[in-house]
Amino acid sequence: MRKWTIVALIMLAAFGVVCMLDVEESSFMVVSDDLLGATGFPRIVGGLLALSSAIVLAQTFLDLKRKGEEPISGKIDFRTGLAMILAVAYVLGVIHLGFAISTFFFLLFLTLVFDNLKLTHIKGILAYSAGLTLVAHYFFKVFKVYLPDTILF
Amino acid sequence: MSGSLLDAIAVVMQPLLLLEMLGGVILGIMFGIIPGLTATLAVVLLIPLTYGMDAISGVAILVGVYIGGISGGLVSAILLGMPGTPSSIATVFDGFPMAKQGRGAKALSMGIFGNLFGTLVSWLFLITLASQLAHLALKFGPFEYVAVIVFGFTTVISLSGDSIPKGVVSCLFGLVVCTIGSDPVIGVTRNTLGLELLESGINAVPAMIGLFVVAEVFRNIASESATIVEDDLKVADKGGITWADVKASGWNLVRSSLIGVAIGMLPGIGGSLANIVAYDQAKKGAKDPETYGTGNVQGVIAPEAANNATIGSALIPMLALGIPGDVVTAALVGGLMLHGLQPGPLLFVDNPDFVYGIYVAFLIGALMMFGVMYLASNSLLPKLLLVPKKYLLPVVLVACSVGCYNLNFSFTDMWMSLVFGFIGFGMATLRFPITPVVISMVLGTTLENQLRLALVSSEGSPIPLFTQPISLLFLVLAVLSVALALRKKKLLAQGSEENG
Repeated sequence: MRKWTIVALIMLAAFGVVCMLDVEESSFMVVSDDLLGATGFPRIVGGLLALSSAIVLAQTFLDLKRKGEEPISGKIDFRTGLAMILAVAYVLGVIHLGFAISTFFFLLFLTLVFDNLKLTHIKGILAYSAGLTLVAHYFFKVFKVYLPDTILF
Repeated sequence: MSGSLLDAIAVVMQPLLLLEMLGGVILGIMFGIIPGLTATLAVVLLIPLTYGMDAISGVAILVGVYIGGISGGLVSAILLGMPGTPSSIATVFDGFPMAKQGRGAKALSMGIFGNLFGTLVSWLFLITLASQLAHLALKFGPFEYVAVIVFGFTTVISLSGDSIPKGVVSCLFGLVVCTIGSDPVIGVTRNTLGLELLESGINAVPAMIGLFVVAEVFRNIASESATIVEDDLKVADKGGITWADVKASGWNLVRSSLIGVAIGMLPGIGGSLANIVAYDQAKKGAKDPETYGTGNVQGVIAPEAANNATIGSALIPMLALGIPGDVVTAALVGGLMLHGLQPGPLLFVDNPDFVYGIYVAFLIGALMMFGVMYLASNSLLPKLLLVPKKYLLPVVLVACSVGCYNLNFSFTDMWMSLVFGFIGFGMATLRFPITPVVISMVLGTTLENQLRLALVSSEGSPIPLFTQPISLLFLVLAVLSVALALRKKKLLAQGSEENG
């Protein structure tokens, strides 16, 4: 786990440095009394992030040398990765296709992923996905929770 | 005065309005329970429905929704380990372990009692000291704000357990993320990394939903248990509140409620900080601090009393000065203005019946919330634990996506909740604390604004931060908070060395 922590800390330190050095994208107004200005605060916190990440990085390096690698507390197994891909596909589906159809397929496939990709309960899962999609659609309509306007329903 | 009060009571106690308020409270609770749907959204959705009503009736319903929405957040925090709102983050720390130990119903009952207590304390302050407290809140200048927020950061970092340096990194990461998008003072675009998607900045609520809810769903996929809580522990207890519980929680309830009232009055800070500070103080003041985080009921009562105490205190500057304390009260101000009322000192002179109407509606809304949630906590809500997670968690993700879209009707917020879900999964896997990211994202913009204002007012000198009494007090508290956390860490390290 320490090796992955080191990777994460390097990325965080780099993020801090980028935000510190490349802060301003556009400027159309300057307030003379505003001493920090639009760039001051991001530079301070970006610098502090880079510095603190570097300190924790050094500490983690020392721990790695002294105590060796430790087991990772969580894992990205195949099913977790699949769920992440499904979540991305769901957002794309809601944006480009429609809430109801995307929700139906998302519930169907994600439930299957939770069920270890076994097809033994497929009829029940199909019924659940279809029923819940209808209930969710109706609930959101009744309570005026807006759903995106898309090409399908 | 008594005539106006009686008139207000007569208006609010109409059976039809009471029924509508009950509906509003239940709607608010439902929105609070579902991660992604917030009290703000519930209030905003109901504002158009109150157009045709008189002012007291309309605002009474909105106040009911507000109380229900803030209170409902504890249900998902306790039963699913997923806070529905930033106001319930600290409730997860002990509420979810209690649910995992089969004490979910007890955690709900005591949390709801904390909700009622906190709401009633803030109601007392609202009806007795609104004007005085509002003017006290105005004494908080930019330096005081900076000091309070720094204190908030040190509090949340000190709760990072044995990884305080990682807590600091998390806090700073949240602050840097906060600077992405338009600068809050002059609108300069910053740190967008060339991405158009980031120009409007990153909203803290979708980020919080991603970090706490979406990430938790991903983490649950790999676990073997069919339900969120182990099968043999799902409904082991019956919940309920006993006199012994109340007696044991007395000082914790009072302290947490007062913390909520004090913090809730400060515009822009509110419940998201109050629940963390109250939890931290409860832990520091406890005889058994080592049991916090493992399922101590006092760790549920403290944040819940504090976050509900912010409801009444957020109404204080809103009614007395016309300054909304948070997004929900800003929506309520909109509701008031729709009815031709301008909140502020003149409201008490020109429309006393309306002010009394709010007082009465607030009290009734709090009692309704308690009644509905208490009944549900002993019957319906614990049943959530019986639902297999393969059915429950996909629905949670759908609700999160829709809720995030409804924040600004923007797809960016949906993407952000997902991106922060991945980040949260990575952080939890590598044992980086998540709470500091959320709190710094919620308070970061206020911190930057106030820091810039402070430096403008002092012509660039930071000295007043250390010379003004209120800011000095909070800085001292901040230092003490870190020192105590470091001392605790040292003692724990010594203990583990001695043991082995």
